[in-house]
Amino acid sequence: MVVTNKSKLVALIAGTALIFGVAAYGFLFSTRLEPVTSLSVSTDGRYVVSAHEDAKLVLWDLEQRKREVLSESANLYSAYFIEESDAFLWQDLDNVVRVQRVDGEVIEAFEHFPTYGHVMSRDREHYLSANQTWNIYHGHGEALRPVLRDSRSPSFTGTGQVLNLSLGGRYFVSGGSGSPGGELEDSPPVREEEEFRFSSSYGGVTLWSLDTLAPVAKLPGNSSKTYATISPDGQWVVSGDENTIGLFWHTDSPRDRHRMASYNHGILLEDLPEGLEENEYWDKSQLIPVPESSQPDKWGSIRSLATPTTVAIAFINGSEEFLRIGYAHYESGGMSRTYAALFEAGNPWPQAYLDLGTDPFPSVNDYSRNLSIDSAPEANLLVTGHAFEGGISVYRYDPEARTLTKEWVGR
Amino acid sequence: MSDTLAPPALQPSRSSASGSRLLAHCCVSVTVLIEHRDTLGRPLPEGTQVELCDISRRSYTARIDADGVSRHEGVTPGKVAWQLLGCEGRHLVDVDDEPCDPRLAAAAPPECVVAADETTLRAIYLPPPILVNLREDVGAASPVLLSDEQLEQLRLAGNNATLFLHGYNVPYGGYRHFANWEQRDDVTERPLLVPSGSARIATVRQETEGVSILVSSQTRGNHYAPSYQANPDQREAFLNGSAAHNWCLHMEYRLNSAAGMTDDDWRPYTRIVGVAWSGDTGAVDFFQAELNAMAAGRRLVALLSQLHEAGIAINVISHSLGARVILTALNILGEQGRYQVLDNLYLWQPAVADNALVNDPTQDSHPLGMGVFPDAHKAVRKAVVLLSQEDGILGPPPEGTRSFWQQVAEKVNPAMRGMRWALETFGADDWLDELIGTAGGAYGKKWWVFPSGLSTPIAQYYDDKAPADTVRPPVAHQPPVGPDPYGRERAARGWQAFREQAIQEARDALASGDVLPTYHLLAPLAHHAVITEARAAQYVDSLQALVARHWRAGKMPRAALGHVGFEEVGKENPLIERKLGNKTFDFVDQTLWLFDHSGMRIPSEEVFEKSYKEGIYDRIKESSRFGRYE
Repeated sequence: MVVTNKSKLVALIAGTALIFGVAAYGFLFSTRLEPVTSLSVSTDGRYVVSAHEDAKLVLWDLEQRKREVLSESANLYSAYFIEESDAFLWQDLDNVVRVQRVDGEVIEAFEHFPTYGHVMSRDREHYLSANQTWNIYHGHGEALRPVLRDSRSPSFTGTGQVLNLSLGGRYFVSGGSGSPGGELEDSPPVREEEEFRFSSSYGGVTLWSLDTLAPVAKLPGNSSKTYATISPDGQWVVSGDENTIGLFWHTDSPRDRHRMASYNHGILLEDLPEGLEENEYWDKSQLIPVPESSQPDKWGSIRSLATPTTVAIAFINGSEEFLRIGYAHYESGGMSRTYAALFEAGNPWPQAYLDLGTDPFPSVNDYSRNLSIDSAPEANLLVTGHAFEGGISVYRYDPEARTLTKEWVGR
Repeated sequence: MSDTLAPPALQPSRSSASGSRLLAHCCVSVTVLIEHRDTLGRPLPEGTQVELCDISRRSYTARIDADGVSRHEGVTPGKVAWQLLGCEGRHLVDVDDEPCDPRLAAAAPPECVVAADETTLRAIYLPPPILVNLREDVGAASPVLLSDEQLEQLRLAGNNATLFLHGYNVPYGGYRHFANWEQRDDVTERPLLVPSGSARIATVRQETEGVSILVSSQTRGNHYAPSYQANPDQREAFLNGSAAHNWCLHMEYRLNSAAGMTDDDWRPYTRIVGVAWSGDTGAVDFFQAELNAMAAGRRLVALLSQLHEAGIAINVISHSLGARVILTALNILGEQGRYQVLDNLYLWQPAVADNALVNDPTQDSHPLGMGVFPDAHKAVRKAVVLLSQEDGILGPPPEGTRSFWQQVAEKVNPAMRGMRWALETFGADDWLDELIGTAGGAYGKKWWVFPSGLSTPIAQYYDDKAPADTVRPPVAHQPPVGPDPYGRERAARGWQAFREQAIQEARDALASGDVLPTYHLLAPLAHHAVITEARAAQYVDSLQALVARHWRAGKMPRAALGHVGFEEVGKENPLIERKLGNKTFDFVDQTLWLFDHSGMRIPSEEVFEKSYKEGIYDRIKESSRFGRYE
């Protein structure tokens, strides 16, 4: 009799545990987020808005450390915080773009084409958006006006990434793939469809005027998938690409191209003839050591843990400093290349290498998700998505100590 | 009434070929002149026979004259169609300025209306395919060069040549036939003329959809075996050639599509230069395939020189081990001081070491010095590596790509891993590739996978070349008694003889005055134009040391270039970093869309868009040209 009661008790406990377990799993499953495809940080560093692979739109309150799912039908590449504002942009899957405050108030809503990246100036005067085929438009509705529409290629489908847009001062910058070819005079950015070029003259890094909406300068020199951004004060354009090339320009003299130093070999000196000793091509004067793996990898090499193959660039200290973030996969045994290079604007030499960590692994493994990395330069905040799940990692940069600390992992 | 609408003049009755009399009112006859030209404006070869078929299905055969015109007399007015007899690869793409799909034209030739007294038709055909055979079995002694006609073809087609080199384990193969009218779903009636003979041989890619092909089962004894519809793989084999031919026609078609050609208009279609070499050494003898690749590379030098000297711009695309063929040729050109011979080099999934392009031979990890091509970079303006970590052959996939639960399941139950292996292997398109891949990969068959990985192929290679007791060490006497019981002295004598023979081979080669002599003992160094005596001695020393170490290599192996790209090498070798910096080296990481080592042969839409269009064609366009495309 006693045995029977004991068995019943065990069965009851086990049953209850099972029910709770299933319920908990179900709850977790229902609230689970898919990986971030785009995110944006408010200028004050208080909020992050993110769009996820399952089309959820999430508002994260970094101060309260909580999140709220705002929509389950958001365009994957549409999460964008307007600078110095408590309002953000997002687009739903019915293609309505909303300008919405963090308290939920919708300031503005308009129908638009499906965007693959969009930005808005703080006065909401300028709304710039890119489509799947990397054409750029200004405004919306009746006032919609093409800024760049000379080809259907490169495209999101072709390159596997969006055309990155960024605002700074009276400029905006676009960058996506390779080097823009030809001279400005010979390449009208807007063409009739029957005169479309096979490949756009503006797929590479381009500096545009926010006032005239015309190109100010083509900024050539990059290769393959390219990320470019402009400093918040509009003084510096910086770019990094899949091919390992890092470049920067001052917007006052955009014809003067500067190379960032190769992490291992220094600054490549330009215009030297072939046939010199290899060392003569490089200025190594201010190189700093690159973090390396403590063990050899499976091929026997001690590897650099910072890679110049660039997936994103983020200003982290006003317009003074930025992080050049490498494209990396998770690799076991401490082999992942998760160190970002810290640069000062206008200085070609890496100043430090700062680790983004591997747990959770940041969203640096996919060019099509390079909008999932953003910063609040004035607040010294960097936020990334995660490679394999739907959370975000929030890092704080200390300009004095030049360190990067992971402050919070939101899931 | 105008002249053109006037009724044709009646002619006397005459006899048909079968002897029956045709009445006068049916016997209005037309002279049909057909101007035959290729898309490059050249008249088709004089003497080519053309068979024309009229509405009464009578055929009129004529030869093309020096101006490219065939003259067919006595043709019944009305519809006619024609075919070329014996001019392989000339597929019809335009009649009287109307483009036509050559694949449809080969099943149901376009029917044109002819009227008395004379009608002239203008027909435009593709130029013939160009396939260069560098295989050992076609007389290795004579240089393989293009004919004057082929050079002219390339000159007219934009003055450029795009070469394609296939990979490992690809036999020579051949072309197949166009789907005929009965097999095509879009042709419902028997055409006026059903092409036959060479007009049916397809040298362009055909769609495998919209085609029904009946295959008869093999009969067993007296049992009746019914026919069945061919599956897509069988249709591919029936339609699109085999082996090297299959690769070339797919590559050619995709490059043209990437350049903007549509199936509605084939007139801009550009022929590539296919290059076949003896990579089909069996699934396990990768070392022999590497030697063959280098031998083919030596032979390719003459062809590249010919094109270069003719002022024809050269672009080369290689797949897999084809990289070793072209890098051998480029290394030799670089050593000979012939710089920038190629405009663009595309190494697609190259099965060579990731540091193959470094300029420092001391960085070679290969125990015999076969890994690095130190002068190859000099002979090319721009080199692009198309790599994928997911190709399944060149190395393991990146970590973290499988789901958490999959990984847990595989950890808990190793059988799951086996199942995944089996599924991936036999579910793959190219199961042979996959089978080789999963068993270590074609590249994985290289020397480092098993400590003695090199022993068997090298011993086999030297069986009839090297002195005894060298690459196959002497066996100890049992019991070990008598003089030299362990064979050490025999081995020492053998190696000494080997060294002397190798040095002699190097010396003879130098003395021969041949700029590219053929090596036998020194074949593993065939990526060098000429082997010095010192290098020959050093090679034998390396080989002896390798045998003494029981085939254990002194250095760790390198990852494959087609797997990891330049990621590691750039750190070690400033040349690579500099080349990346000035964009003369470039790469396309296809990890996210290329999941099969040979996935570009029949590409997914994504592979086409990202690898062919953005990865290759857009880059060719930057500094060179493909055909006449702008």
